[in-house]
Amino acid sequence: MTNKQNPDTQQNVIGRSVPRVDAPHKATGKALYTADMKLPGMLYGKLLRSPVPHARILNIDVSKASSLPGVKDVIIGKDTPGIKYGNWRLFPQTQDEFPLAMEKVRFIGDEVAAVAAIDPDIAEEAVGLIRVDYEELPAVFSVDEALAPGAPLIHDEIEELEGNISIDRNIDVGDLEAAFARADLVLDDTFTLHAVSHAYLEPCAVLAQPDTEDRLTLWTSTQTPYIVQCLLASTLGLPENHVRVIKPHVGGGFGGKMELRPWDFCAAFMARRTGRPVKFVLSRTEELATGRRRHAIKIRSKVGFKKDGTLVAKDFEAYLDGGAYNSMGPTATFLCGNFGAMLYRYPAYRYRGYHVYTNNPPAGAMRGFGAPQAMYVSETQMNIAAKELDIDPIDLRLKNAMVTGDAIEGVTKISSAGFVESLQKVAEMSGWKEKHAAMPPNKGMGIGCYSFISGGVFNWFNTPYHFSACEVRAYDDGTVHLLTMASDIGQGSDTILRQILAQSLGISVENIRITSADTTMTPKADLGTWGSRVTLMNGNAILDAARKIKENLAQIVSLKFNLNVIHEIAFADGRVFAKLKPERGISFAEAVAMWVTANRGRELTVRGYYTPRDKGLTTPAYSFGAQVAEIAVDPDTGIVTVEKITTAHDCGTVINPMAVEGQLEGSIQMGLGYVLSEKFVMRDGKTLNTTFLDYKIPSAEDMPQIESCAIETYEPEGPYGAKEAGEGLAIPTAPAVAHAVFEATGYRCKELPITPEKILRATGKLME
Amino acid sequence: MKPFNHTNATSIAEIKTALADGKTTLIAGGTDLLGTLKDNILRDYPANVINIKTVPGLDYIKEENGMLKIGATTRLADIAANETIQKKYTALAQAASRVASPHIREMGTIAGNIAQLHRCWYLRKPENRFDCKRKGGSTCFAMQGDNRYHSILGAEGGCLAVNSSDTAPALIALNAKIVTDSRTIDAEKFFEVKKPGNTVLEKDEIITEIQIPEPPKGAKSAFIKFAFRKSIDFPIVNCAVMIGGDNPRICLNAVAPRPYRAVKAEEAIKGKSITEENAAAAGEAAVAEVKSFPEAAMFKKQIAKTLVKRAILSLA
Ligand SMILES: Cc1cc2nc3c(=O)[nH]c(=O)nc-3n(C[C@H](O)[C@H](O)[C@H](O)COP(=O)(O)OP(=O)(O)OC[C@H]3O[C@@H](n4cnc5c(N)ncnc54)[C@H](O)[C@@H]3O)c2cc1C
Repeated sequence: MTNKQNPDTQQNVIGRSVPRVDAPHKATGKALYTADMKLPGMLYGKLLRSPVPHARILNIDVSKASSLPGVKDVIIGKDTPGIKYGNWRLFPQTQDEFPLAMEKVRFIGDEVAAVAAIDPDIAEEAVGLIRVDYEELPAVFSVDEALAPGAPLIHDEIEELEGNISIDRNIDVGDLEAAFARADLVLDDTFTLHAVSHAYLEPCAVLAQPDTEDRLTLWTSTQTPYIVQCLLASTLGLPENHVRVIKPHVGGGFGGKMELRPWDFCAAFMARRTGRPVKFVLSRTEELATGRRRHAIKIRSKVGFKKDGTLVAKDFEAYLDGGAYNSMGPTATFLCGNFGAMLYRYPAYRYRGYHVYTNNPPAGAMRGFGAPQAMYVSETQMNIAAKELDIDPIDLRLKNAMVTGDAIEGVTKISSAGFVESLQKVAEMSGWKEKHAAMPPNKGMGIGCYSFISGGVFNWFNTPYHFSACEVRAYDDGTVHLLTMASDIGQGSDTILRQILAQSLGISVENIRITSADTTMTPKADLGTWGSRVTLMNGNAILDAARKIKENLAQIVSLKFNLNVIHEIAFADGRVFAKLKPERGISFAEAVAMWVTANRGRELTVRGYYTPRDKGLTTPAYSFGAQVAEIAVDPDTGIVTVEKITTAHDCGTVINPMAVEGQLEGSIQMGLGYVLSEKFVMRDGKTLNTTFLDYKIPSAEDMPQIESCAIETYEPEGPYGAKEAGEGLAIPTAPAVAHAVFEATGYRCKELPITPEKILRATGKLME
Repeated sequence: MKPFNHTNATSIAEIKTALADGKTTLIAGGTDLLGTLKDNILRDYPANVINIKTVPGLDYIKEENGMLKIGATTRLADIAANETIQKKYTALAQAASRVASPHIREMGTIAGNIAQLHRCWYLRKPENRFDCKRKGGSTCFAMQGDNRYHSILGAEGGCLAVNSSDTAPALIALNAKIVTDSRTIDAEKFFEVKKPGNTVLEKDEIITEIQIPEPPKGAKSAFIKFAFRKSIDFPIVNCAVMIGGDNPRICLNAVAPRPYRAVKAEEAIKGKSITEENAAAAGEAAVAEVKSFPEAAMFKKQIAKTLVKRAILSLA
């Protein structure tokens, strides 16, 4: 990874590959995850899940389970307060889940009952002793079935709904008909994008501990402690602040851990009933068979070009298979439409998005949130158009690429864009022009691009608090304590946020202690780790706090050296000094000590906040990038070997090159799984491949050679000019590989994933 | 996982006695067995598990009396790394090196590899969700269900699950023998089961050694495997060949409930020089008997014939 070197890197913490603060503990196995935790008297929980996709619950008999020795509690929906929840609090009719099924089950895996016992085996045995009588109902397993006339209503209890469409979204920009009339080439394609698993390494786990004053502490593997706190409190009928949520080390989330989940509720509820700590740890089989997943989406996209490649219009229609509940589906529905209009300038754009209930396991947020699907379509159509119009695919993109200052009317505005530069750079690095023109047989080279948000603005959670917050405490020994609800789930925010604070206070990262992701100990609020929001949003809250600390210390130094009011006070190398007369200054520690004395013993403690304001309703900032894939196809077996991936991307200022590189490598691995190997094998709502042997995430040996370059732009809204590098990078690999496969074989994939079998069928190798 | 008693055995006789009660299972590396227990996929759960790895003198690789002898508990990693095997019994070294992942090869034994249970997502669905034919039930769920990775050569006892051992076809191609505490069985015969189960082993029979005769003069062997991933992936199809002697031997696996000796392919290449054309003809001959199940079979058939062709060509 190349990186713009700053001349005074000595003092610069920004732009340096500061090692991850959690790395040694994780590498040596010392880091504690929820599953590692034990408390005295702890009980083990297990869930009973529905074996049928759609049914009315007639009767549940828990008597045998309850009387099994060692079982301390058994609960079913009727035992609970029966309060619905869901992340979209702003629209209560979208909150469609009960912690345990009440009247109906809606997918195979829907949680029906929970047991707490003195050991996990007894809990499991007890679950097997619960008898449930179901009246099976007709079920639907695809969007088409769910929308067919006479289809069973999956949420007949929600009065506002007439069919199985739970939410829709329209975008209309420009005069579509008139624009299409001007087109020389119109592509009209339907794509089928499939569901895939987050496949985070740590399955979900929770430990709940009751206390004597009717309060609760919850350790849970989550990306969003604040959301879990609020929704758990509301489903239990408790004041929000009776619930303390702590996020221990988390082994990845990728969007799959950003909601209150039934085991969170059951652990808490049974902990309160039994007065004992209760722990749940999900199995990989549960995760794969019933866990959240990326939305399967059917997209019809009509796009028009002039002969010279100029885009004129796009008509984009998306049907999301939401599964049995909304989860984060409404957001995916909104964003899919926004992302359909990104990257290029579409003078006219229409989006119709529908989130459809089916009896499949619910889909939720997953790395990219609607963008991988939308952009697989856009990018593939760009490549189809390039071929039809006989224009180089990169030139076609350059002609239409978004630049700084562009806007999508009523949707968003682009405050910084390094897209053109990314395209130019990736072409240069990969040797595109020469190589692409002369590929040997069975080899291919393809391109895919992306743009992604740096956090969302639309307040679907309806929080009254700031989107991000922090507290900074400065001490007289020169150390600083940063307290924030922001959650490091493995992406590295505990390190990055310290880098931002260290840079702004001019102290070293080692002198900053961090307490993060504990809802009681850190200021309200932080919406969590999703939408690639933490660096920008929490980074800005930290800058706000740092500014306040610096104002206070600047007073002290000005006073001590009787500095003229025009002096700028600098913070660097652990010192506070007059910028133009560095000898007039003192150490950071001394400055704090003097401030404390001057304030007669008060602690130097400040709060910083950030909420994006006046930034539209989508995001404060966009990343951009372009990726080239080089592949080889074995013509007799259809297997695709990805040989090299070259990326040029704009994530604004790179705060930590090593962390960005890690995101890129992980993204490529995930992108390869999406395009080539991962797929749920479903049969009547049942997931057949429920282990990592059958659900095929790429292995280390499947990884290609990787080269990349960061195109640094300066994002005015980002801390030190930074924007996202977390999710966007997961988008371009699929379209780039698909394009390369087309170039190698002539097979244009409109139904992911690309399997050897599909390639052999397309190339006529499977004719009898 | 449900509780069971674990004993470290010190002799084959001790294991034999223990297995006689019908409630005891033998464990070697445990890489297959523990998965079946953890997921609780079988009808019966063993009360006792007895460990063969602690029996002294079963972990060896040696050449003796014109044959290669491998002790039952020899680990796959050691077989893959053994120079004699790499040179003279190449297909076996190559097969062992392609099993699973480095960790599993360090744990998994050769006997466990050939005695492993079949792979089928119905058979292996946790909590014995599908009480299928191979477990003694009445239905093969793959017959109606998704059978894309199942047998393309018909069922065995009504079951479509495939044998996925990587070393089995290599041992058959190399004309190996499986020695147990009571008899010596041709590798090919070892899988000819008439009842539910994977091998002809009796419930209390223990593999003690694998014997491979020195390949005929001029004979060379090779193994290739097709899987979706480069590591930690079972074969969609694998293939071992030995040619150069008087009688070529070609064996495929993961295409049928037991390893499939491709006799027609052997006949096709017998006495012929190794050319692109002859190898391709042998490949076609290898899949001549592929049956029914059009969708899935077409793909695996294409892979199988390609592997046969390539394995032969690799020995040119
Ligand atoms: C993730 C994963 C990937 C895998 N990938 C592959 C692969 O790519 N290719 C492949 O071939 N296999 C694969 N395997 C299967 C298997 O684990 C290995 O093949 C391994 O060699 C099994 O040996 P083991 O010693 O661990 O057997 P164990 O699990 O100990 O035993 C397996 C069976 O053999 C019986 N057994 C063991 N030793 C004897 C003996 N001496 N006499 C009689 N019966 C005996 C046991 O009773 C048991 O029924 C994989 C397994 C896993 C978990």
